[in-house]
Amino acid sequence: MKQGVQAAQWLGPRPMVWLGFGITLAAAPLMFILPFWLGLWAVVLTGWRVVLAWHQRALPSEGVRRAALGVGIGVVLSTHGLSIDTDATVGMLTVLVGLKLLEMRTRRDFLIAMFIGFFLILSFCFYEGSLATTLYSLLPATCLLAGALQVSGGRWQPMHWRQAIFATCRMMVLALPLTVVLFVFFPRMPGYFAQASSSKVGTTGISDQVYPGSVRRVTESQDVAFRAMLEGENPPPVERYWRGLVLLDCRGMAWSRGRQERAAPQLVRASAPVLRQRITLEPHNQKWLFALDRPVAISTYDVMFATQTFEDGRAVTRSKQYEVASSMERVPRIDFEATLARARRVDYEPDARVRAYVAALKSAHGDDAQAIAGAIMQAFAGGFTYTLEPGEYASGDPLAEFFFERRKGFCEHFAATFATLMRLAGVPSRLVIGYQGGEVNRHGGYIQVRQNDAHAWVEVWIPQEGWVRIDPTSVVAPVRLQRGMRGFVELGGESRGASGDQLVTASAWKWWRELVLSLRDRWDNLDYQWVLLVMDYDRGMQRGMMREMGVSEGQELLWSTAAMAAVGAVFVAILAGLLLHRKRASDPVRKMAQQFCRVLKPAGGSRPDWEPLNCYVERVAGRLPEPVARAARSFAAEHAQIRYGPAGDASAETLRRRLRQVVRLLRADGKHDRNIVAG
Amino acid sequence: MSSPEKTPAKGAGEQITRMRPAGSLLVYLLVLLGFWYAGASQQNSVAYLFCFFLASIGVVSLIVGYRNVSAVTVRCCGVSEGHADEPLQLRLAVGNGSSRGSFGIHLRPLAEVAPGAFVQLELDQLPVGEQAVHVTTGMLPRGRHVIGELLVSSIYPLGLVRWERRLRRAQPVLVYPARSGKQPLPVVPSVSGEGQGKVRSTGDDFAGWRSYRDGDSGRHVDWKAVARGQPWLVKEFEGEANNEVVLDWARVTVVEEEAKLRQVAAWVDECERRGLAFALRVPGIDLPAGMGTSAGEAHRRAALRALALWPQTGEVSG
Repeated sequence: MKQGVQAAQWLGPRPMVWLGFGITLAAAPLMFILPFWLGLWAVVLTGWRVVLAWHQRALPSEGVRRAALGVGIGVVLSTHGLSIDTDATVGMLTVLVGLKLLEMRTRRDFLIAMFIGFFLILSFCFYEGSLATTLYSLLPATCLLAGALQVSGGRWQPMHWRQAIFATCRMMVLALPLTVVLFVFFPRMPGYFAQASSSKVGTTGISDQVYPGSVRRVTESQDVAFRAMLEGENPPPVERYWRGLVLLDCRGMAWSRGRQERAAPQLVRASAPVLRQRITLEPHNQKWLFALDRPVAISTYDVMFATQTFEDGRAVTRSKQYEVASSMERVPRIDFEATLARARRVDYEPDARVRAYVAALKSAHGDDAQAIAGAIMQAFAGGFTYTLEPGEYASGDPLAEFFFERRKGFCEHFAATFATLMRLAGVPSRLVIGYQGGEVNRHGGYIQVRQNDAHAWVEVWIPQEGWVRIDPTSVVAPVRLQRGMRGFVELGGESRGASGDQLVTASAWKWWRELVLSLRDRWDNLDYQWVLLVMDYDRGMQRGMMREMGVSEGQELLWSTAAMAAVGAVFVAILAGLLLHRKRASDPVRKMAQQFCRVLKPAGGSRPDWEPLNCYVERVAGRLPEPVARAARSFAAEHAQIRYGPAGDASAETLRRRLRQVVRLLRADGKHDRNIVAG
Repeated sequence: MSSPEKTPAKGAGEQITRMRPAGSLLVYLLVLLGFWYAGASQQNSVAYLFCFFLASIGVVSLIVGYRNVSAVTVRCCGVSEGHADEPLQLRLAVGNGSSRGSFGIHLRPLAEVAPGAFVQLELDQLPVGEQAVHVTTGMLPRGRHVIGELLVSSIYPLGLVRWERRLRRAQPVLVYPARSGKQPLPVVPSVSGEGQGKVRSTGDDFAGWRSYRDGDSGRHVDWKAVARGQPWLVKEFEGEANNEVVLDWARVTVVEEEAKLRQVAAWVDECERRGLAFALRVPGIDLPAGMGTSAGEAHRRAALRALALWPQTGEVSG
């Protein structure tokens, strides 16, 4: 009996191929997120199963499957332990989908494997929710659904793959409007329902430690760090300093954040120019937030520090939107003595050369902070190289090695050295890290800041002025600030002070570069809109939108329920319409029979519904001219042959020819009659 | 034995469409719940989007599935007749009224007397247009039955639900008695008096083959040839057509009426095989021997129909 059931539910090889494609496409991107072998496991087992199905071989025995299950679970446990976080869950799913495939025999097994495949797609979207990822995930989804169509479309004569794909795409297109309505109106759960997840999102991004090479490493990535839509004019590239973190603890070339005091949002003069920005931050798995230098207030309930930096309550693992107001004015002009004292502290035993240099600075300029800063900048401008390949600084005192020997570095080398020297000279200073520059998207008008715009600069306390920004990079590599990181790289990635001839670019491939950049901007703009409209659509946005539609506070649930009910009613109406409305038959043979009767009607009379065609022809044949009657009899015989005879003897085409013959003969006969009458 | 013909409560051709959830619907709903939970717990819009997309596809699949089944048209062509000990064949014209064709259609006639008798027919591809199909039944008891309903169903496109259409069709089926009994053929001297026309028991002289026609008994089909992949052929035997046999109910030694009918049916079969003309005498029925070879088939049918309907008499329409 069981055998019989299995035979009745037997799966052909074609759906397996679809399922194989679907699972492989869904698992392949996970190879680069999860441990590589997990994705490989799914892909290899899937391939094996597809080959078995194609050659109609037996599935592996239960012992083999059990052993594989043991191995899979063992390795997941050894990788992730007993924690039930997203990674472990996705890992387990990946192991299970491979095993499910190996024991798959029936239609139900197929559906279960298909749903696991959907979970794999979903988990990929969890790690990366961008527009590109979502569009990509339509591919495996189409394959899985096409497989399901083939499975439920019969097993003896499976659907052609083109039919399956076409039907799947049609269903997906038909599903879109409903998807949009559900997405917009389905009530979202409040935030407290959310659970913290440990996820691998955004491992790139700046950290709260600076040491030689730390910023340079971040700039290797081309990923978007955040996008900023500014109210009003975008400032010129040189003034686009995006403040992220302020580092207070100095240990020579290595700086760290230290404990920071919180502060209230600052008051600015009403007349002071304030730049408002809406920033959409990509997840970076850290707490800090970025804003145009210097931010004075932020829209959300985030933490603000006395160093004029902001922090989210918890690590940003999803893209986050916030509004910031920045002021170009330097406020405040006073600071606590304790803060200034901390900004002078150095936990670092300088080299003898460094000590001698600082002593010389002090004796030359005394307490004049601006003069000391000017002198160090002068030193940088003469003979220092700003480069993408600063090399390793592994010696005991990298600062001395950099300043006196190699004189080659990236922004963090210059900034950290400058700030440390200022502190050694008794001037309060701090290191600021964030991004500098960013490109204006020519289609969206916003500024896109990428990881390779990461930058470090210095703020120095100058009495009566406040904290003044000094960027050592500006004297070594002005190109980096004027033309951004991309411009700098295009010019060779190395700079020694300002020299005008470097600003001439090769123009041979300019149009090509322009085209690529334009396409990139266009795509980035689409991605940005996707983030704004889809990825960041949450309870708040839903409520805001409903407020705009005139729904009063506290009635959102009612209204979204009403919207859902309306959608349901529309669906029921469609179904009811389908039930009531029956499409007219479009069977060609039937149509030709109807046409045949219409043609014979003037001469022979009409045919009632109950009368078989051959009986009708026999009844009216006497009233027809002889050749027409003969053709009509042949038509009836061929019609019966097509309808009731064995397949293949007569075709619709012969019937059509016969019909044409009847029409022609009738017409000729009519003409003949008219001629007689006329004669 | 034959059930009185029930007029369908609703007009012929009327149909009832139903949706029956399949087991995988539950799995599907659980998956949706999982997606929703993923979206809600992680505040992940893309998970929500996926959840709603999958839900919408499920909804669309209901409509697609309904259209798939509702496009199917079925007409019955002719009365089916056969013995109670052999499978019956029902001739249907199955068509598709939509512009796209239907997939994965299951077709099952429901006989009122034996609802499970018919084998489900699986039509994987039903292109636009009409085609003739044969549905094979299991064994049906002797008598006249009406196939009241045809069940058209499909789980296409996703297997979440099964759409079912019950088409009301009053399709009569006539089932002759089964053929069994060990009594030899009662041979009576012919009226024309051409000597003692003793039927040789080994007189099945093989005469040749002819191609299979609907209604031919399965016993004469050359199954070995069919198994070799050759077209269906029927073996013909030469008998002594001059001898007349009277199949008399009174000569059957078994007591039970049904067994008597089965014996008579077996005799009819044997006569046909040997090409003997026969007369039939059953209480209420007195069928004289058919004349000429062309009358053979019609005569045999008349005899078998009378046996099928016994003790009622009367003509079967169709």
